[in-house]
Amino acid sequence: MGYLRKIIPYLFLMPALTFSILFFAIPFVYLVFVSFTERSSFFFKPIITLDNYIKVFTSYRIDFRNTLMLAGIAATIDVIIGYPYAYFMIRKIRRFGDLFRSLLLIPLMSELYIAYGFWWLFLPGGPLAFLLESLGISPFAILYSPLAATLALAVYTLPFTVLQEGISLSQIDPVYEEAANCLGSNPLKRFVYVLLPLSLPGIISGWLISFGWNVGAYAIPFLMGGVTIGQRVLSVQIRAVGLLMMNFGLAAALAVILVVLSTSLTYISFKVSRGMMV
Amino acid sequence: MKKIDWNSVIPYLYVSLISVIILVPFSVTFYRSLISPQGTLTLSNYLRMAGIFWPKVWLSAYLALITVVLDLILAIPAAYAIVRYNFKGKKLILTLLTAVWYVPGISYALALILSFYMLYKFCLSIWGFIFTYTTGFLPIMLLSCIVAFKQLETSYEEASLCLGANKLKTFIYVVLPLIGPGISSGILLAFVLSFNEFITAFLLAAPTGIETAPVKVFDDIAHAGMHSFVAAEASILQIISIVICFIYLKVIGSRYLRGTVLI
Repeated sequence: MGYLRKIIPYLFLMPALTFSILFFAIPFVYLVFVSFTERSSFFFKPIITLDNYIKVFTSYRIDFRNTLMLAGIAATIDVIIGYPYAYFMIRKIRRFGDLFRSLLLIPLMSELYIAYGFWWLFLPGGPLAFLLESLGISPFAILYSPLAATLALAVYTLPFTVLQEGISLSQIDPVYEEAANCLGSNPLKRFVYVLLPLSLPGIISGWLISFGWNVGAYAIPFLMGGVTIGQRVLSVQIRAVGLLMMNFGLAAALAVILVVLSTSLTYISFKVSRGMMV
Repeated sequence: MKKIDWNSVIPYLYVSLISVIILVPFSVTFYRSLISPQGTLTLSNYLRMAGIFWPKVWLSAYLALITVVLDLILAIPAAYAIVRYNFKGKKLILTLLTAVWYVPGISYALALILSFYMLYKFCLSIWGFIFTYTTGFLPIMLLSCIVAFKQLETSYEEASLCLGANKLKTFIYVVLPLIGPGISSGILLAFVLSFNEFITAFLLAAPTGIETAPVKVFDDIAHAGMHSFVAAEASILQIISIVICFIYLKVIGSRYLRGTVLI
């Protein structure tokens, strides 16, 4: 009987674990294996080699740098504009709170729609292009440039950052701010010496999680000029190398690096924020 | 004249400004979808794309529905075990079950394609989509089920057991109805996100030849992005998702969305 009681939870977990192991764990182990092989295909026996990783850090260094730049800058923008948003949502907003909160769901639906919307926005004849032309800037200067991609990525991952910063801010007792207020500090001092140190874990984890999602984006970097040589990012290259050039080993190496970048940072962010996961 | 209290106005102004920025991509697309080539307001773009596009929307909705049902079947017992039992390796299992959510979609899709063809020797078809979506959106469903079970007090189950029901009966007649609203957030998110899933569907479209609605939108953007009917396709998908979210928020409210992955 005691033996049976011990096995019951595993029985409940069985179906979910089967799916996760068959369609997630084994494919990933296999992906890591393929990334160390050369000329692996349906017919040939693979050759074990480290060439793919060497190639990633030599020929694909520019794409690697582009990925880090785009994701990093977008995450920084997110943290800066998301912080007041999270603060106001938690401390000040009483009415329409649910409406604002549900609007945050929209960017999460798909990056594809954000990319397309921004594409129209910057296209000649679009609403923003008109404004830019009156300032003397050609709309094409922005449309297929890293700037447009960065802005679109910032909109895409804003909800994740706001969530992390919000969790961190909601754990701070308003009493601290009131005490600082009573002791005669101005709002700037209150922010720098009280609020910022206390909410630093939220800021760090918000940046990291936003960075992790930005790194994995495909549609935004692709449609915002990612096909131009020198502006490609890793995710665009994975598809080009893997499914168009059929170099599975190299594509797998790129994919493994992408996973390491994105997942490890997300993991660190949860460690920092001691957040909602587990 | 009444003096304006800036301390209470600025938060609303700022939050509204960010909300407007969030809404910009959708509103621009929607506006474009209503403009005819002659520059007048029209609905003809929606009629133009209807014949080719609606079957793909149905395919996406159908896949999303299967995903939700399979995820519910997998996630409810798993979440029950995680919340109500103590066993070895709980943390490891939970990490394994939720890790896929934090993996970039493109790496996940590539891993699946490689392993299906070269390791399992299994030709991907509509099943490839079902397996991918179900595993990929399991974390969302699982987390919302875990939150729902944690909020449910054990006293209801104990009362039912005291009154002579067995464990299965208690689960079906007491536990399931009580956690219903809690797991509804998981159902909503899994449905909307798998309905709009782009990157894994995009990679799977090449080997399977099955094109879901978002992939069709992407292909049309790449080939004929300037045409307004593409904007109509993109906005109809967003309108469907927004309407579903809106109905959910009207009926159930946002309180169950807290504590899950997103809000």
